[in-house]
Amino acid sequence: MSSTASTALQENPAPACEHCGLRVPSSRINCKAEKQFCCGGCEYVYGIINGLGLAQFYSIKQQTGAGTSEPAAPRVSEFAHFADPAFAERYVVNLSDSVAEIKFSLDSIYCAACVWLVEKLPNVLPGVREARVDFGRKNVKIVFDRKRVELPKIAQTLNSFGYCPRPYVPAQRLGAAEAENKQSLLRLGVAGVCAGNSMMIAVSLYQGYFSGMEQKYQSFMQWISLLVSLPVVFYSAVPFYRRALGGLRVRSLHIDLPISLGVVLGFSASFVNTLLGNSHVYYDSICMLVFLLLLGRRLQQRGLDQVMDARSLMYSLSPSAARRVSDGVEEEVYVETLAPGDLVAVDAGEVLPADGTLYEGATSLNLSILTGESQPRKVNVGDEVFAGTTNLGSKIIVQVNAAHDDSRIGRLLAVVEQASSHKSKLTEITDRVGAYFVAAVLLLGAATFVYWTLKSGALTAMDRTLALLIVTCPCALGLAAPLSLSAGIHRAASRGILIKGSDVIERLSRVRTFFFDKTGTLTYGSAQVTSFYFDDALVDEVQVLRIAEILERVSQHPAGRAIRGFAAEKLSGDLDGRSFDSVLEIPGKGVEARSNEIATRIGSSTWLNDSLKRSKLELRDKVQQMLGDGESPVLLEVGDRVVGVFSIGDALREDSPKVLQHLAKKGYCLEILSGDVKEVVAQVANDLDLPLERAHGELSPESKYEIVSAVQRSFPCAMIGDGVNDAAALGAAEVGIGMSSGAEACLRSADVYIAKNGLSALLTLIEGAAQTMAVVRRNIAVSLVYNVLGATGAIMGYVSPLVAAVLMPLSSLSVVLSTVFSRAFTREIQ
Amino acid sequence: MDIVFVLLPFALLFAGVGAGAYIWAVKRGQFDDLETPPLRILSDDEESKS
Repeated sequence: MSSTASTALQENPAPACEHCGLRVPSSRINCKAEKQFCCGGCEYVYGIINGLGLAQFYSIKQQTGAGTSEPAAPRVSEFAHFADPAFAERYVVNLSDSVAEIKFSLDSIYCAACVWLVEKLPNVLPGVREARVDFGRKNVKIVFDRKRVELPKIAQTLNSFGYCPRPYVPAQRLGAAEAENKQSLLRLGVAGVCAGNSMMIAVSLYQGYFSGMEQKYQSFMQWISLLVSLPVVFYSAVPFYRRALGGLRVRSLHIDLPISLGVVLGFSASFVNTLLGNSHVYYDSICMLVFLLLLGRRLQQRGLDQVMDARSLMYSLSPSAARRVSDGVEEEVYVETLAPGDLVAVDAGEVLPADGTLYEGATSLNLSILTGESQPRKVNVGDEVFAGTTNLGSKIIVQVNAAHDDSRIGRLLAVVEQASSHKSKLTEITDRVGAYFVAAVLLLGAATFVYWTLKSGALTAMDRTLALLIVTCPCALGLAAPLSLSAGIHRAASRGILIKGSDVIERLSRVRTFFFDKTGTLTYGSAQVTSFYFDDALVDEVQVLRIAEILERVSQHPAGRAIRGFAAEKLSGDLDGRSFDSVLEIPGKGVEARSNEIATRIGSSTWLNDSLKRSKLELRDKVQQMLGDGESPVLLEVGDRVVGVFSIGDALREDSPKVLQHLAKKGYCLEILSGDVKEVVAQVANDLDLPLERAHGELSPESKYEIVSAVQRSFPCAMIGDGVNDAAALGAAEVGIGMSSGAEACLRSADVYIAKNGLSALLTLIEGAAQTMAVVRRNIAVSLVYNVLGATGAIMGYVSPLVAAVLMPLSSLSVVLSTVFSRAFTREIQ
Repeated sequence: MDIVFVLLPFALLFAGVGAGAYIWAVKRGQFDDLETPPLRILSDDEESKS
């Protein structure tokens, strides 16, 4: 009998960790204890928090919901390198002689309780004056007394809370963006205040216009309106003039040109009328127009600017500390001080801090971050090794060739940064429609002016032209796209799809080719038990699983962990608390236990080959089949026979076949780009009914980038991935889509981030994007029709400037209503 | 009706004060981080210790 792990793993959740709320791995389940913890760190933190009288943490957390991410790898570092003068010089800002400020990135801040706990730092550590968390950017600003507390101590305390600090490096562009953000908020607010007030005064003026008003009141109110509109015309609207002039300089008609013209002409005409004592003033329309347009642009821009620079990404992937070995003594140093030729020690389980050659020791490395390869690779003395890879075996010493920015991963991230920033953002639909629109309005305006000047004099001509400019003011057109796009982004976010920027939706609607990464995108990305068989003549299912679980408890191998998890799921946590007398892990082979002279072993098929030959034919066939499929069989031997076989592989996500089928049916071109070995990729393509020539294996991150950029040059494509090895390709594609479990670099370079619901969310995204674009087109059509009708009326003289000013908001209203009633992203596709 | 000559500038003065407060708040960075403060109010214990 068999079972598919991927389905089993979705059911029967294991107990949640008392501290962080994550699933407790079976190996950590302690049947005797009342409270369960997912890792030593959490158990320790739980102790600290209760000891400090901060147990309220847990009640806050329950109110607001805990994180759902995986726990960060525990770090053994003592943060001694934070005391390095080179480090302090780079990251610490001295506020006065004794007081200094530093910002740390804390990636594991997920909830309100995290904010609360980290901000309690001054209570716990004397010398720290203030700790302020920025939840959105996941960083903390710490003000501390340099004479009373040292940086490593602060870092250690934060780490003991469960938040591993790394120096916060803002992107160079970020500083400028922040200032610009403040500026645009000011312009918007000022326009809002002025628009509100001038509308209020305008009500009196309209009243007077229709039912008569004494001249002195009228001109008083006009002068007040003039005063109120000054900040709008000379401050808030400045960006429009700038862009309009910028457009003219490069000989293109920007949509801001008629807006600027409308504002300037409207203001001038109103000013002249105020001087002459005429009743036609349009101060309120001008203010409202500027306010609404600024509001629309702000909506559009929100959620952008998530760019980070390569250096900061670097720290999220490789450690900021290294242990340098000189004369046999290990010393913790800041990684940027490493020079080629240095020797660094890397323990089992640690991430390599730099590129280099293996100097001492032999081990296997997890290269998945660089290549996407699912199996660990063995390395020996003299072999080349890379920063960012994880040491799975035993302690090694590496001779550094290239550190940090010069390392392979550093260069790769530089490409990521470059590729993302090169993406053209000038193709937005409003701009394209806008150019024709502007030309038409300007021509019409000129023609109207000339025609009416010749026919009935300059005053009438001025009146008609002004009415035309006001009635065609692209307010609705300017709002049409931003409003529907930002509504789409909001609805998508509530479905767990985070879209970074409104242009992404439009770009996505043009995509016809999808590239998929394999590991972590189409598959779950970690070693899993994909199938399980046993000899039912000798044992029953529960026995096999219990014995396997007990043996694998000592194992650090990914396959061992997978089996342990699988057994715990299948048995619903009903495990055997007992243990064997002597259990021993034999590296590269498996685990062996002896009790009463009977050996019980679990491990690779080569190690247990002798007893496999004595076992049931059915099991032997299964093992052969697994090897043929590119999976690794793990055998359980009791006595001298193999009684159970676990197949370890990287299981396909449950929804992958369905999603790909759906996309193929819709006529999209689908391809797989993977770093994994060709046989495994071929197997996956086969399971997904994809032709073999569409599945590319053994690709380096650089060649993924090459392939995607080559296709991108001729037609738009999307890349879906999760690893650092996909990041450059994500940046190069028209739309890069990152999967939830992915690495930070990948999420930063992606345009869309799928936070939940796995691959199925992709279908929701594609359909939602298409519907949103339909709404955008509808809105643009509505505002164009309105403008054509209004313009005709104005030219003929049926619409006076005043009526035009009243009609103008109507078109905006129709656009708003059309957006509110749109159904984009409201349906989740299952 | 001549009271309007006093009241309208007076009203504008109030609007000006509001706008001034807004500008002050933006410049002080009150709108920089809109996510953390709503979480911060959840911890309602005594702040006097530090």
